[in-house]
Amino acid sequence: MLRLIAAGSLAVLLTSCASNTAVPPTPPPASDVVSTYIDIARASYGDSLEAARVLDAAISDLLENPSQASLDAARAAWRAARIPYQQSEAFRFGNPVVDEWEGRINAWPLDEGLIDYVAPAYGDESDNNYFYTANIIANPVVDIGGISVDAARISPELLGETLHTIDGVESNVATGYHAIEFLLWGQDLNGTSPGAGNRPYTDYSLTQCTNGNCDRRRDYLEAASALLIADLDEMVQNWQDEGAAVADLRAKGLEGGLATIVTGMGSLAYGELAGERIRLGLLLHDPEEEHDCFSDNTHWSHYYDALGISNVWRGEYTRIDGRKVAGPSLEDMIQSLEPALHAEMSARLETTQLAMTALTEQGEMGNTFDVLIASGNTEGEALINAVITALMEQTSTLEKVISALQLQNVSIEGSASLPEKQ
Amino acid sequence: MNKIRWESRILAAILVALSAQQLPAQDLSRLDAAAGKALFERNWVAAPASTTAADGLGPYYTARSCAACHADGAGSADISALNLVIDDPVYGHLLQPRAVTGMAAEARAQVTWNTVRTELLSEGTVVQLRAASVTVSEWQYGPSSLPINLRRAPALGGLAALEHIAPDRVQLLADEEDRDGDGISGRLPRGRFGWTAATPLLREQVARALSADLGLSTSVFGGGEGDCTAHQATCQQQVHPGEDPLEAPDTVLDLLLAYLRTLPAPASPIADSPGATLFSELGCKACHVPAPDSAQPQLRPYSDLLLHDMGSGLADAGPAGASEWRTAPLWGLRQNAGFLHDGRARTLDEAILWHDGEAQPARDAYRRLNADQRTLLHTWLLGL
Repeated sequence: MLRLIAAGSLAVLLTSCASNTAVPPTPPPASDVVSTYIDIARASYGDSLEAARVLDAAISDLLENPSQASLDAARAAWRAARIPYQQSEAFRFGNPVVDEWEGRINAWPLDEGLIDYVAPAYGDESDNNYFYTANIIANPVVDIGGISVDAARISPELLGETLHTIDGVESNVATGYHAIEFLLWGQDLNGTSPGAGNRPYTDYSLTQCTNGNCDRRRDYLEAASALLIADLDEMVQNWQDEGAAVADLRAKGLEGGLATIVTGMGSLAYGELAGERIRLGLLLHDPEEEHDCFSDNTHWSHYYDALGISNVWRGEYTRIDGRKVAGPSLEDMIQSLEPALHAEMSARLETTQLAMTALTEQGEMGNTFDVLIASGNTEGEALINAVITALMEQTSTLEKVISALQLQNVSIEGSASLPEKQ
Repeated sequence: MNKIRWESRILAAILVALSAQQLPAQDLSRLDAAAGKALFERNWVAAPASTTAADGLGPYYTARSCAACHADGAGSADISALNLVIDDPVYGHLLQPRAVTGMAAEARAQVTWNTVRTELLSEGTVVQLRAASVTVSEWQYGPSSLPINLRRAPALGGLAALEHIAPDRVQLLADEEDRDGDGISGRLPRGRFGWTAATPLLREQVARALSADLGLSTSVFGGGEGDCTAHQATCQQQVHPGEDPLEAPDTVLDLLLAYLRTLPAPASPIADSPGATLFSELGCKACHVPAPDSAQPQLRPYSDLLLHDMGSGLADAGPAGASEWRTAPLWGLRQNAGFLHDGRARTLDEAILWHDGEAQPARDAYRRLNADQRTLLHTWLLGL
């Protein structure tokens, strides 16, 4: 019976999508589609920068007047900052300027033991015997990767330059959104049970300091926030008319530009989101194999990743202030060239959106990603698998779009061998 | 654990429809390869971190990730990607140049390359053969007098296919006593993987790399201490057992293997090109057997997978070092940066001229080629 209902609702969805759409007479020129893509990228990074500045202001308030209220406000600002940034992830793959920069601001896993105190053994809630010794906040001089580092003054330069280069290509573990997240929430010691990190605001108090070295912790948080702003500002510049990302894209030609758009959509959906960020967590049942592990904000991160892919397809992005950026899109092209394929892609994206919405509903009820992937949580597994299936199906339909547009040299992350679906 | 409550009936229906739609096994294995690639590229962090699945690095390590030395499955000749093999009772198998935060590395090593021989090929081509010398300072547990031998990170394409070659086929190629009198006495090794074919299974080879290079314990090689010995007290103190005794559980190992199995053996070029003919005429094929398993002619690694004496110039220093090497498969040669086990050869000229021992006649024949012939051979080899 349930299956019948399900089949029915899917059919309704498919028909409603197919019939509600007006077919434009001619497909928009590829140059306009690429221009819309650039406009959305510029707006997405611009919003990410703006939201990071709001976060920075909230962090200043927290440091000026440490209290539960100012810590909560900073946490809320961090969550808000993730909204535009996660949508911008659709621009990561296919644009080397973005992909090479990404590790600086969104690196995972985070080497949090390098930053601040951590519990000695993960998952042992009762054990308050914190492991204080080997972290930058506690130590003005520290050995990192076998090299002795002078960390007497914690500055954006120390984090971004010294730590960035200290271990060759393998650093990037001390900066970015997740470093700030760790500093605002602390470790989530709840395992696969509900609950996020629970760092006390007094970790930032100069008068009632908890867990030691509050002055240096304040410096670290301030430096990490300043660095995030600088890094985002760099990316905003890259998407201006004369910027590096725009220049790269223009140099690829129109077909190359379209190929970049679909590379980003497919790679984020398939290898990155369905594979690394979702299926891997499900297979490992690791409570913290989740993207925003300290804040338990992962369901929203995934949701906005999916929305970012849809933005790029539809050529439409709603900015954080509510304004819309819109223009001729890949969707318009396909709608005109292959109406049936357009209907299929619309349905796929809608299904993904629904599955992601279900994920966020569960998350807001306390069934966060780390709870859903617990070993033996069969309902959680079904929900996660629905998300994975939706992303996989969406990407196979995207492959048809790639064929329909006869795009060459498209390499979707993680799917060098994505099954051919005729 | 909270029970899942569905807010919306439509959502529930959609989800039931989706989960009823079985994930096709083939699609899932491809997604697993994608997850494996993510693990391959993952920067492991020191324990204890919030992520039990990605911590456990070190305490001593050579690299934080597989991809640090095998980017995209290719090889590296980067000095920082070289393994420093010491086999010392105190320092263990490797001398590790890195350590987790708060610990000093085992030692600081500097590799310099010195020209040890200069050869003149026809038409005035000068080839300088170089060898490494390793200078070590800042020994954390006192200096070791044992020699250090280097190993570079090879390209991984086609690795999984080597497992498909039947052992009895390899045995057929062995000729330890040189009964056929061709001067080549391939010896059957213990295994198939690694420079001396010491490891029989790819799974074991991957586990060995996780243990020795990253310091991660697996079901194959237990112990979170990685390559740190009982004599290294500061290292032993760093080991923090988490919930799961294995830092890289079997799921991780399996996903990494799933990824490696998708790294294809490069396509074979046309066999009857002039370069292939030269390869054959010089006698290279005696060890670099194109298709060692006659039942699977499509598998063309250009190796007999046997051990051969390659002369004293290539042999490791020290009593524990290797004096015989597995015939290096030549497929995917172009994906390697540098040639031979330690990357000493920068060009194919250098790599071939280092051949000695059982390979001496073939090398001497190579010396007699003219420049055009050498180019034809090189072009063909780099197309494998």
